[in-house]
Amino acid sequence: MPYYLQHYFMPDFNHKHLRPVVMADGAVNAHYLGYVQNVVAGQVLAELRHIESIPEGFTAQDAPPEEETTQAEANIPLPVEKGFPSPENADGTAASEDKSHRAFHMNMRKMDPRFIYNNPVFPQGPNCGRDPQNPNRIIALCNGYCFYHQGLITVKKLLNVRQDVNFRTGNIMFVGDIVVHGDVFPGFSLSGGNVMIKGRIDGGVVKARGGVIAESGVKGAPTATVRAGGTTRLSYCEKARIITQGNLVIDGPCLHSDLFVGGSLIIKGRLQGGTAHANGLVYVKEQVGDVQGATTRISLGYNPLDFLHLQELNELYEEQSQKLQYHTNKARKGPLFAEESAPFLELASRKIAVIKEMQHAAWRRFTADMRKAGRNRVVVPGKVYPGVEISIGRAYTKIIDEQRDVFYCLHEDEIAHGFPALAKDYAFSPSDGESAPSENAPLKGRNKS
Amino acid sequence: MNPFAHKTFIGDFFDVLNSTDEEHQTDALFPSGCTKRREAVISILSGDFGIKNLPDLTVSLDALLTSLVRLIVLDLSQVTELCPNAVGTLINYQASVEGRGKRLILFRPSSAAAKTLAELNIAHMFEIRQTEQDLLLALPD
Repeated sequence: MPYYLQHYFMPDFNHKHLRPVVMADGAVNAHYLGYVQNVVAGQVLAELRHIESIPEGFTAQDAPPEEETTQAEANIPLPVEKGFPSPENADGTAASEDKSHRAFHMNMRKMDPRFIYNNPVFPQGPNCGRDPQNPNRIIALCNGYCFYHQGLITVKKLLNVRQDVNFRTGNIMFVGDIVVHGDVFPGFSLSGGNVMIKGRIDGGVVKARGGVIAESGVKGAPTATVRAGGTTRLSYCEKARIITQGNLVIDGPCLHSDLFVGGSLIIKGRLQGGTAHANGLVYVKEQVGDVQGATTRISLGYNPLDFLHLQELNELYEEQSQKLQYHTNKARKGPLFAEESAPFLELASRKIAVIKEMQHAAWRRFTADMRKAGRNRVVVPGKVYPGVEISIGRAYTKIIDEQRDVFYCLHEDEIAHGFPALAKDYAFSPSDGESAPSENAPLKGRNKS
Repeated sequence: MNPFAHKTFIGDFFDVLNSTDEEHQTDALFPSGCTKRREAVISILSGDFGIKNLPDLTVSLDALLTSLVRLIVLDLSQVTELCPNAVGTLINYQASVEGRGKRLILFRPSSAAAKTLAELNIAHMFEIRQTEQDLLLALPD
């Protein structure tokens, strides 16, 4: 009795041979190639069925040319590589390669003759198992991506991208952890659990639910953005935007970047230009600011992510106000213009009302958090150049004279500084910024602007 | 077992969400099933999402994705069952939408849908909104 192994993922998927996926109206976006087939734990990947039990509606695909096979060969699942056209032999048309993506979904109710067997076969590989409630089904045992490897259905939890993230891979979104063995090119995005990039984030966008490690740093255009839910580690950072809920560690310099750090910020090089918002300790080993006086701002004493949210709401409010003004002016020109502008006016007005409510709520949350400003401090064993601006909670100061080996903290609602930057009897924990000044560390003067 | 259904609406955004008028409903595969400006699509999914209706779900979702669309809202308030395969389909759809620079929002997931997303620990992969006010800001101008 013949059996049919029905697949619920694309068995012919080949990440080395991708083409942009066509949308419903025939348009194509070159930034998305469907690089990975995400699966979740418990997802059915394949099901073995008696051919006679397959309901009506299933039809046979065009059968390939018959090949003589032995009985043993007939029972072995055909490796994908055997049936997949090699790049050298492919006719190179987009239509021929489109079969692997769009046509799979359209043809899920057609039997693929490659997967008809005389005896039951269960090609379950790593991280796959039989469904305890239905043993004829192969299910994924964890979240990951699914593919055929050496004739077995395999689920892998870690996605290794052994190339740059560019037009050859497209944007990538994965349920698990990602390691990129190349760069992330400008205009491309990467999203995963924990993300490690061995190359450079060069103008791309990286989002991680956990931490991010960029071994060659982050560089580039203002579009370079890293959003992480956990601790982030970069080798260096230049003209980028880093948003992390955990700690941020930069092994080299941080130049002209905007940092929003929910935990502590540690920079082993220099902090030059840009703004740094943190909710704990800020430690800069070599230098803050520079001789030319580029504006460098350090802000502590509140949750930077709440501050960022407020900033975004303010920008949204400005944008909607401008649109409201534009459409109001347009509506004044005549009845036809008024009719055309009416839905835009209504939408802008409603959005502004919602934004105002959100701003009130966000501001209440922001100001409540500022009461915890006392535990924050800036520690700089190196130099602090004139022109650096430091704010802790509501207190603000601008450095006038060059200082070395210094720390700044809040003292009686004003910013005070002391020497040395690090004392042996500091009770100091970088992860939460909790620290207590040493009794022996002198707390000097008020650094007034 | 609740039959699977997928309806896409044409019309003003909030009128669509509040209206129960059958005349306003169209078939899911209608090519211009979207708001008047064709930039936002609201799609109401209802019934059981099991392995058997996976091809229908995939084809229906693919039909929503056009070059003009900037926002796709999937209303899951009437979903009675969401199997892991359907969740996997939604994740890959989210990757497809986000990879093309568009936005996908899951709106008012039912308790069954929310429970499945939480059990699989992937709820944070989606943008989930519960009220119309939250959706309002997402609407393209």
